[in-house]
Amino acid sequence: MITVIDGHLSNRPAGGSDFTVGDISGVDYDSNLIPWCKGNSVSVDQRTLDPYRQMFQILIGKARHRLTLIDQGDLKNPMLNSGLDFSDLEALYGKAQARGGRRIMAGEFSGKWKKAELLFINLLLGKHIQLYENKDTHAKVIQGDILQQLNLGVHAKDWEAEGDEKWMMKGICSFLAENQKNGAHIRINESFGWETYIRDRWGAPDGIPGVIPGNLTRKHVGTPTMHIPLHFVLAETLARAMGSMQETEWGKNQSKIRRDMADGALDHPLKDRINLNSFYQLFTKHAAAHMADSFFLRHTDDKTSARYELIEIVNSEPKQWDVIFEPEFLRWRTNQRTRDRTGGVQ
Amino acid sequence: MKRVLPDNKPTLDYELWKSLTNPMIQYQAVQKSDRKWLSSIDRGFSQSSDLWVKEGRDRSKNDTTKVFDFISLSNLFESWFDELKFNKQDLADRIGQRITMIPGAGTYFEGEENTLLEINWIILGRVIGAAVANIGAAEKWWYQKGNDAHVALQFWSHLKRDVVGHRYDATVHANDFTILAQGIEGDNWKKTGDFYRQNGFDPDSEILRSVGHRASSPFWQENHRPNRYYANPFAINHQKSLFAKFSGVEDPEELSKFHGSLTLGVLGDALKSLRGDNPDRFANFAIKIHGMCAFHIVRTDIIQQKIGLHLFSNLVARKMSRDVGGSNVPDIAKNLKTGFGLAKVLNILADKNHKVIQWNSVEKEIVDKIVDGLK
Repeated sequence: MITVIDGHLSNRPAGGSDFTVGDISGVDYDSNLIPWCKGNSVSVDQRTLDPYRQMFQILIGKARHRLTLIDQGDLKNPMLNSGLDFSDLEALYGKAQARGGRRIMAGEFSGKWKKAELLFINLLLGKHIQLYENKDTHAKVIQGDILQQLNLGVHAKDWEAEGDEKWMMKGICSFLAENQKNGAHIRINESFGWETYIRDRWGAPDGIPGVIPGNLTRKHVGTPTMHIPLHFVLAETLARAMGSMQETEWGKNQSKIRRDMADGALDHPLKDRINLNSFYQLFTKHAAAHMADSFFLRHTDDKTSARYELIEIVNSEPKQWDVIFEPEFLRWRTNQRTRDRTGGVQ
Repeated sequence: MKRVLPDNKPTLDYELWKSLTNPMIQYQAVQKSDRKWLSSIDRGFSQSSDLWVKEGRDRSKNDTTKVFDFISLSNLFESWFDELKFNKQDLADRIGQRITMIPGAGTYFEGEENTLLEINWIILGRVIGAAVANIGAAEKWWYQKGNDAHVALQFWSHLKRDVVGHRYDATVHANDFTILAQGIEGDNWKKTGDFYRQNGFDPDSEILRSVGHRASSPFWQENHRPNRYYANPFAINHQKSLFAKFSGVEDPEELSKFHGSLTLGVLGDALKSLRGDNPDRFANFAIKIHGMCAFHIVRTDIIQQKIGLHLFSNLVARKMSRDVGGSNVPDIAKNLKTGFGLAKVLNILADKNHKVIQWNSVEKEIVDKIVDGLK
């Protein structure tokens, strides 16, 4: 969602790949981002992934609110209320530290807060968020210090340390707690492509007469430029990746099934399908036979999920079917294979 | 290991069902007394229960003929599938007319009318799962009480109270969905939401459902007004139906022990209404089912998903995509691996008051012969 403009990394314009400003076109969601969503979206129960989805929802929601106010010309103080602060986290997760009881020591940090810290670490390392020390001042120095420690692996070393040495006492949640009264918050890094995403997700699509694509001031119906909630898939993907640091990696099994399905389809002479018996057997192989049929219905509820279409094999006796996968899903696997071959360089 | 169909050819289910029903019906309904008996003797996880093994089970307490069980979606669903297939435009028009009469529906579904023709089977499966869990818990068959549905009931009532405020006549107004149809201010939404967030349910995460399927989504936000929320008017309708049913029951249990029966009762009424000759019956059915799905906003219980989502979606997906009219229970039990007694679940689902499924049995010998011929 970003590109080099005048020698700097900058957001692409909203409006999609057919819309250009100067020489710079909008984002081509179909080639990489939507396939990435189709491949990485998991259907595990929302409770497992909710802490991450909720945080992303707040971060994106507040940035969207801020951009809407700006578009509406409500410039009284567009910086206000534009990020996630300590009180938001308390509302979501309760108190950070336990009072103590039979099974938990006084002062032990709650698991949800630890999950929040892990998510923030990953988001900060990925340049997706910024730390603000008050309502409108980017805490560049503190953010730089924390980043330096993260790059040195201090967080991993001190994660289980005791007392003030514990990472939770000096990390991002701690920053929010210490500067709570000044209005410290975490803000989504809008200039890292997220403004374009928000505008393409909730703003006007290209082609509405008299309206700049991405404008958030008016109601519009129909399909937005980006019709898939990428931020949720990213939250889920980060959650899964971080799961291995704490607990089980949620959705790992489904990822394996999807990879095997896509590989099977790409190996088929028509490059887009597998036999329905093989489809069921893949789920059985990964101890998820009970889930196979619900995958055919998931797309109704979940736009990020891949669509599977059944087609009867002509003249088959007994009757047979193939499962045809949508191109975006297969592109995800092709892109993944290419990345694997090139060692991550594309 | 194979129970009914070979492990490598589960899709023979189509030919098997076709052979069982054509040219003559070779199955028979499991009678109420047998359903009760099976419920009482079913033990342990579904995959290890004695009832669903490859040797089959006794037909009844007094008949040792070995049979396999087969379950199908209620044949009342058949008329819905047919209407959708052969009369889609008329159905769309009728739903379109109906929503003009429901306050707030025009705004809520604007630009998303196509979703009104599509039932969200995944959520409906969860609704059924929570209801079955609640009914079984009331019978003390298991501990899961279908709390998802109970929290949802509380949330909707709480939200309406917060929107209306503490007025003398708040209860009257709280029953009036026209108020919610006008939209919910951000402060009220946050006030109600914060209470539930602290108790493990975040209503904000439910707004996402409006992106995927507006018809069955509980809430929606306009793109340009992030601080205003709209509730699905069908969900409010469903709440009214639930409470109307509740007030009509003689000596009901407390709601937390009874909401499962109410939900399946409302579903049963909707299904039975498909039999009539009211030209709007299919439109009304769609609206009721969307409302039921939209009302179900808490989806945290993984365990009940197996008996709801997966069991139900298995039947729906196979029927819709391949016209498989019935599935054998031993293979379902093997794959489902649920700790809920499967015979108890089937007994609840096959109850005549709602009849979500039909439960039949076929002699093992007949099934084996057909399957051997298919290989």
